Amino acid sequence: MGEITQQDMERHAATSATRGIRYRLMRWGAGDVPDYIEFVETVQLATALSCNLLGTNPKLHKKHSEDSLTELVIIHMMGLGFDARLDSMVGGHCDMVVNLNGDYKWLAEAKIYTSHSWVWQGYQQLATRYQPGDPHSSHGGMLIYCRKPDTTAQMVKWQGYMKSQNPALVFPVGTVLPIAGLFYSQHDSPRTGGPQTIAHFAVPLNWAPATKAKKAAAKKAATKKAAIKKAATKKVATKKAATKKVATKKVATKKVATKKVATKKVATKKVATKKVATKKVATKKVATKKVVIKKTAAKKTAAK
Amino acid sequence: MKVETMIALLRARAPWRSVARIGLKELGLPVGMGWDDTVPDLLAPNALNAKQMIDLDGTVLEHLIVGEKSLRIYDVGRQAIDALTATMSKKKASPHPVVTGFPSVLSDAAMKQLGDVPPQFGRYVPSSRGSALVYAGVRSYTRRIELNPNAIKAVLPSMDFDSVIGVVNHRRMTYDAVWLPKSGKYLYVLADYPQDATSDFPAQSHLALERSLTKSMGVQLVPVDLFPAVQGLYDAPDGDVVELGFITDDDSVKHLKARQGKKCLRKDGYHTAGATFVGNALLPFRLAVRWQRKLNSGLIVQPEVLLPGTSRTIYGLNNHLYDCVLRNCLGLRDLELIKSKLSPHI
Amino acid sequence: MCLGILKALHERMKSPQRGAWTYRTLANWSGFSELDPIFQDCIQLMVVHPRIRALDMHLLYFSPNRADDIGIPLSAEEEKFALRSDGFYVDPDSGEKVPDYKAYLVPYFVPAAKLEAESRG
Repeated sequence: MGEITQQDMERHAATSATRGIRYRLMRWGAGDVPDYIEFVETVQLATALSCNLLGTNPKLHKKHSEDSLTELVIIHMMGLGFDARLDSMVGGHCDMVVNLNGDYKWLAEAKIYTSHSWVWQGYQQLATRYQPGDPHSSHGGMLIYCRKPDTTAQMVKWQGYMKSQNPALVFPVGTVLPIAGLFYSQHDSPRTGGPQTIAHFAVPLNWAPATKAKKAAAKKAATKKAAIKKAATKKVATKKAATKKVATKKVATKKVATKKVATKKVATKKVATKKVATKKVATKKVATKKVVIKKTAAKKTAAK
Repeated sequence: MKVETMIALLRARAPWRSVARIGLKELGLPVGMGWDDTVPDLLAPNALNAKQMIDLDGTVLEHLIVGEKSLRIYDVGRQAIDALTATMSKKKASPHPVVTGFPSVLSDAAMKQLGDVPPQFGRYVPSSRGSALVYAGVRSYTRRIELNPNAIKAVLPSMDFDSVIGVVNHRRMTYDAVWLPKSGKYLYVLADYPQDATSDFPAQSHLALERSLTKSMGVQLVPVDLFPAVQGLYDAPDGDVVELGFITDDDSVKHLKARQGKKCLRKDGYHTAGATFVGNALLPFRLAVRWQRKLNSGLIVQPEVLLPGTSRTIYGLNNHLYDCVLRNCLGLRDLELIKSKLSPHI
Repeated sequence: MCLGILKALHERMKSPQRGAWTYRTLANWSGFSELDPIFQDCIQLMVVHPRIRALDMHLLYFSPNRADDIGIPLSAEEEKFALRSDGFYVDPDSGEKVPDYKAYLVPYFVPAAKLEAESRG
């Protein structure tokens, strides 16, 4: 036959997170329509990848405005296959809307982390104005562009600020994604009362090339920070442990594995070798019957 | 017949998507995705009411007669057919063990014990349009299965194969039939011809039945030449041409196959353009045509006939074609349909 | 590479023929190798990128039991189950689930609505 098969496509998809996401979108388009949660998990994984990508070259984005940065995220999301756009229709001017066939929506608001109140403003717009409140748009995101170093610490601060502004906010455990500092917040929609979950993404855009003096000063500050960080990461670590438990439960019940692409690579390799192994068993069975192999016949004649 | 037997016969003999599934649905029976999904519901207690049991029995019996067959037509005359019908209606089934529990699906072990068995008379089946004589037998044949070259590579890493074919010796029961219509001068011999068998499979049944009929009727049976039907059916206005082998004006041989669900090859762009270009001087030698037959429920059966001529049939001295292949037939009505399409041309 | 493939597609759109274009067909037309992972990336983009959406994907079944099989297109319902990571496919002849079915399903592509509209001008 010699054609590229579905199996070949899956192998190709397993070689990178990007290919995996695109392949999933191909499947959705060809008829394997996802439920809302699968849509959200895929969008959020894609967002994490896009944010990390922005963070690989912070020097390039040093002078970019909020809108320019978001535009880059949108372009990347489109490259993964999502219908992502700057939206002007959903209740107001939302920074990014990712939509699937007009049924599912994931809304995001983007802010440069200049101050807590600035980011809070963006969050409020998203939570109270933009999110429609129905079950198929009940998830969204905050894209927080962090120009200062240590995004994990910044996100801890941001979460603390949120709590102080609204003690009724809940911070549920959610899917672990490959991005530092991620957390989830949940509130009830002012429109419908339904639960709305927002994933908070920190985009690491710190660019500060260090001189010798700066390095020494930084070291001092770093040790101080390290102590604070230790306490904070302990908190996050226990949360992560709890999250992991729920996440692994979620994984078990979900149809498609989206988490931890690195382990997925190895896992797919293992499955592939297992398949070859089970095929070996299958071909062994067939081998009890005759197997016609041209070259073997040629060998025989050659041996003769 | 027991439900288990009827299901086993359909499962072994009827193509799932185009025949079995439709036949079951037509009787109002539950149908899932594939046999594994369907059989448990059919075997559940009281899954079939009394009428469905009778109807399924009829469906299975008719499929034994017409399903996946190589057809030969013989001009024997009305009198001979009537005489044979009268004789066979009183004939007892053969005492051969292959006929025990007719109709049935014998296990591999049972078949191995019996070895190859030529067609043995099993049952006389009357119907409103004619009668069928059904014969049971056992035949071994080789099946070709395409294996995954990558899997073989794991066993023979030094070799690089583009494709690997496995040859499997297979034994299965055959159900051959002779159809004796109530009118007309032709009788029809339908030899079992499974989809995955090689083209020589039905020959043994044809030979055996021809001999047996010659003996019973006292006349030498000569099959009718079906080759004129190739051009005839190609030129006919109805049916979809799904396979076409032809010779062009400049002597090149072409072979086209249409995918399932696609339109008729007569209207195929590539083919039509070619036909226009060479001034319609196309000589078809191999043709498969598919028709649509609507059932009471609105479901559609698509019986198909293949006239498997070769390019040699056009050129050779022996330009005759005695066999045609019936595919996707559900019951006697499909045989009637194909009969009616072939008769104007033979 | 994407532009090269699109160019080849637009050329093909000129004729009224619409076939089942496999990876290999598309590779032959555009002068690339279907085994090249970058080529496969481009095909992914042809299908999913919201600004391109030139192709829709479907599946063909090549039965291991049929010699010279030209492939049977899957119905929408069959595709839905076959595309799942834990899915299945039932052989249309035998009615049995095909073990390792993904090795026998070949993706093929047809022009998406967008490409049809573009080619009409």
